[in-house]
Amino acid sequence: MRHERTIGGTIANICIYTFLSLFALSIIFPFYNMVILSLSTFADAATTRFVPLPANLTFENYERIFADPQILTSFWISFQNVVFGTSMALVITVFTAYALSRRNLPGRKFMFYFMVITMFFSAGLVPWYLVMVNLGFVNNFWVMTVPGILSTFNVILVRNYFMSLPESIEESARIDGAGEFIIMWRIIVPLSMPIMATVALFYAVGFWNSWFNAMIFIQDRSMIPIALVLRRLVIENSMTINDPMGLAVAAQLVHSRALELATVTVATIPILLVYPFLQRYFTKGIILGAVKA
Amino acid sequence: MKKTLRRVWAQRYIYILFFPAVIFLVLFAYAPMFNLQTGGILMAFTRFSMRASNFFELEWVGFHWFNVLFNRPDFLNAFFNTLLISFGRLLIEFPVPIVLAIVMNEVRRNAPKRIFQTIFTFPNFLSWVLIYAVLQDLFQFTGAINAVRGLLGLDPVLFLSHSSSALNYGLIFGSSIWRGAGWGAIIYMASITGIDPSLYEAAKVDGANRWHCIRHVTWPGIKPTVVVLLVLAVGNAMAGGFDQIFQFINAVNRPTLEIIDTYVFSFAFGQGGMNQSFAAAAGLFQAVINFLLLLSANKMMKLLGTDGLF
Repeated sequence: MRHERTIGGTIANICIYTFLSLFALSIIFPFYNMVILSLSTFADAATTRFVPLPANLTFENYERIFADPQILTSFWISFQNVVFGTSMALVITVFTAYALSRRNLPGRKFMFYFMVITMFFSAGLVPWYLVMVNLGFVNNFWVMTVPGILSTFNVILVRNYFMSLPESIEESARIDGAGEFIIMWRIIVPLSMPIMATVALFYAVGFWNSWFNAMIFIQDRSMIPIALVLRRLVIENSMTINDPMGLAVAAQLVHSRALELATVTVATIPILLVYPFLQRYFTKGIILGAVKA
Repeated sequence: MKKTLRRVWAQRYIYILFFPAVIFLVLFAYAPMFNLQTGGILMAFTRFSMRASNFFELEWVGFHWFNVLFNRPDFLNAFFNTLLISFGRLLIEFPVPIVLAIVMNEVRRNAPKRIFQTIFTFPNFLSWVLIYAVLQDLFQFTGAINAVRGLLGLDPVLFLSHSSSALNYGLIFGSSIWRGAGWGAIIYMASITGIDPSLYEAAKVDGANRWHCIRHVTWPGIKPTVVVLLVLAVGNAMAGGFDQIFQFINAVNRPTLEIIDTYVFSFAFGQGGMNQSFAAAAGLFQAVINFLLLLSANKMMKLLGTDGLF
């Protein structure tokens, strides 16, 4: 007996699909529009609002981006942040989560709360900033990664996943004489690939997108990541672009607008590329990791 | 005692594994709170100066900065906006992923379900800077939305620099739902898959239709998850969403969008006239309210007969 066969069921299905399709369209359309405008000439971007295809297809904006030394440098910095940051983060997260997943470890409750409290109470921006300055993080490449390599939320996800694995696997390894390190690295981690992929994606995307630490600690322009370049492009332009009084300089602004959108597109592409491959792990990883947080 | 010590010794390597986390938390979370040089959270009760070499050289001013805060209309405005935006988020944003998850669960075929899920979760992985750039493209003076308004014979609107609070909050809540609802739904979908399918079978045998199944099987099944996430959301309420609002805020909409976080930021880094102790006081005030909200939300959940968080 399936409800879908009835007329009421069909109507319900139509409503459901319409609703979901509209929401999906509302997500796709802005990105589509962005790509189209980034492939348009300055003049077309100035006059066209939205068209299915660019009137005069051009890759000029992209050529300009990749000819800009600042943007290339910033992409390289962001790439390094993702690689170094994610690898450090995965190691320390696995270590921590593994320790917290031991069921008969004396003091594990204290260790857990020591960590979780920091999720809900923090000193605030200013005391944190002063400590960071004292630790020598001003104009330091590592300020963009090191303070972000341990997310309590991710540790809890990984710990819960570890705890959901049957204990018998580990016990048999122990009987065979495997040490803690071997058990963690050779048995537990390979069994936890869905959550590893999920957490790796969280960290990688986080590092790719982060701009705040760079904004307040890094003055050297050769060290700023692409996310911060975007912020400067987008936010600094926004007031004039939205300002009808600024029409006097419109030609120049539209010029930078098309370039800006091309830059945004280029910054989105890496996420777009890795995301579908890792997306299938999410639900699996989250089910076991998060349900009992 | 001896037994415990033996257990500790037997698992000494596990403590070594935890050690990097201890260093991390001490440096980046606890040192800012408890600090002999700057005073940490006590900084808010002093007149901070970079010249002082340690906390004891700072002038103790008690609740002076808190007094100043509550006599400043701009802070009260930021406080009020924070409350308004936070409650708006709880009321408007929080339920959307739940509804979305339930609706998506009604899609029986796997392929479209997966496609929808892929599309819906994607924006969550883009930073607010990127999202703002994309939205700007739509909402700017010469953007797509104004083009549609033009076709309908309406005047263009400067959506992103407008003083109307309804418009600004609409944009904030709307864009936040647009970006995060699909991601938020995943966790509920995960807990829906945990519901015993025989419950649905039994309900159908009893003649339940789709709506009855949602009402009496799906909803009770995800309620515990809803409770946990609600407690977390309330506990985070005072955060207000700095990442998002910091992109949207500008000179025109600042009166409606200024929240405590952006207020602290402008006093900490100059625009508002540098005053670290003052900014620290505002930040501490926010952190304390936040923590109290979390505790009371948790308590309330317990009183309502659910497990709560801790």
